[in-house]
Amino acid sequence: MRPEKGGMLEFLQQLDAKATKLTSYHGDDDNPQGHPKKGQVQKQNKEGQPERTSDDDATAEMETLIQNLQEKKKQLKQKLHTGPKQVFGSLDNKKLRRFKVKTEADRPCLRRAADYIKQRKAELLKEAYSFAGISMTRESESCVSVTWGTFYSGQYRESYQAQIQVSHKLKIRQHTLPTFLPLEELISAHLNSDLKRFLWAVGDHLNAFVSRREQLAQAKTSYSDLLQGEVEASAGCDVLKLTLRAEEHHYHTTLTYKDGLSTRPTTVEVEDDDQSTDVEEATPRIQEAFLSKSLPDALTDIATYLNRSL
Amino acid sequence: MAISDMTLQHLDMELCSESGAGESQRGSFSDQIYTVDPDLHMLSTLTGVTFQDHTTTVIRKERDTTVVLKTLSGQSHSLSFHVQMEVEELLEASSPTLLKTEGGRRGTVNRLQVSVDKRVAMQTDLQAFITWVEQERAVLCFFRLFSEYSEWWSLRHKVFQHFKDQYSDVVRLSMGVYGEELEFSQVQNPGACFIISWLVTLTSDPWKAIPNITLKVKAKNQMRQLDEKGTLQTCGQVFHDMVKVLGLEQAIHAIIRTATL
Repeated sequence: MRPEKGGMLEFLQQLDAKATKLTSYHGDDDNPQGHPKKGQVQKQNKEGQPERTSDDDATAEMETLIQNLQEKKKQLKQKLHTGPKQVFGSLDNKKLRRFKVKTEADRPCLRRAADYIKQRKAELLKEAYSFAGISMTRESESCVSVTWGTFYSGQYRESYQAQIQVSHKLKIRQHTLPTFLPLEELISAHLNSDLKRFLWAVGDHLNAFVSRREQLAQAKTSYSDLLQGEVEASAGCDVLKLTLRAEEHHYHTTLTYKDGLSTRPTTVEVEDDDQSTDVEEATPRIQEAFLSKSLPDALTDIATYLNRSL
Repeated sequence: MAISDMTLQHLDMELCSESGAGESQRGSFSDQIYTVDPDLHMLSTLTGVTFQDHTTTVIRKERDTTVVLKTLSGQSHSLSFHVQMEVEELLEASSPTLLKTEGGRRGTVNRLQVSVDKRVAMQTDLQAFITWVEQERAVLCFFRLFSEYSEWWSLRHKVFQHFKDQYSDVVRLSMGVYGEELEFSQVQNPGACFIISWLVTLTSDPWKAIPNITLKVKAKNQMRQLDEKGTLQTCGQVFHDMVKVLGLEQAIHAIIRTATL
């Protein structure tokens, strides 16, 4: 049996009801053998003692169970009396602030309750770090597990983990970080000199990657008419090759994101099939749009411009 | 039942009063939690962010989603922050790419409100950053950058205070103890006033906190006319080079001693 909703009190009441029911059928302190069921006659063995039947065995088993449950009930009741809810009960914060330790018995109860609340608070505070993007737990004396959360456009995305072995020198033991991350560079630059910087740097790379990936996904969905064919993308989405189609003109564009930390391209190369004046004028506009805006916003601008000019 | 920090501090005082624990041993309630819980202490040290409160209030529950109001408050290197966000948590769905928050739910931030310590709240570039963060609901970016910004801010305050204490007769903090400038000049014949300016600016795209430390000299015209070698004009560059070689603290020591002897 597990505590049902309604809390400890309801659980105890259910326990009590079950124990009472079992006791009334199968015996209590005054009549441990219990009452024979209506119409049932007790058999006797050769010595004239009541013969043990399978019913008797079941009864004895039930009695043991009842005793155990009653013992458990006592313990739980005791805990309830000294648990945080009972100690603080319906007192509000103002009354609590005037609470005085009146007897020595108050002190351990209050201490247990306060410790429990501190523990709960510590758990909530640890959870807060996951909303800030980095959380850590100690796996053992020599191993810490770090989790990086990623975030884009108001949504929490996937998380990545690494285990850091703590010895005379820190080492990454196992991790789920993507292979295109410059992990070795970051480890040699920061891990053993500035751990904080290492953690934030990895987080920056991961969030930049997620931003590029999600921008590309959004662009593919919203601008399938403007984009001809498939968009070729590197694993880290830091090199993209796409073809923009407007009327009969095609612009083969390569976007490069330097360092892995950029969320906008750092270089844009455009090759067009046609050498007409209109197309030549379009190229710098296309480059400027990609360099100054996010991928979806850049494609919005480009689509508007190309529709007007061509 | 939510019990405030003040209440728990009072309860702790009650419990400690007869055990003889002194005022200095008790500390604030948040300090106690961070001291007792080693994981929290580690997180605080490594991220530069110390959370002091995290509350969740359910606003509404629907079949597949729950909308909650999360409040996170705390400090980063002595600068306080308060973040409130409305998060829509989805139950387990088909796409594996979204982060699981507690209980296997994924979160979308629908609304974000951020406020920071009043000592820095009026900084123009910080205001612009917070406006951008709230519009884009960029929670992670806020904590990332605020940690960096507040670390520089706190370091500047400590360094300036250190030199003010050490050279109290010649050093002045004309913009206050949290200001961006430290001035020094000779006590007798103060012909020139030297100003170390330490700005922490926020640049966008990507957002970064960049410190910029320079030395300026304010001198009377008469002094400038006598400065045939152009020493006053080159002070700034000399200081810049000294910082590279000696480090910031030693460079400031050297320039103060040289200029005020």
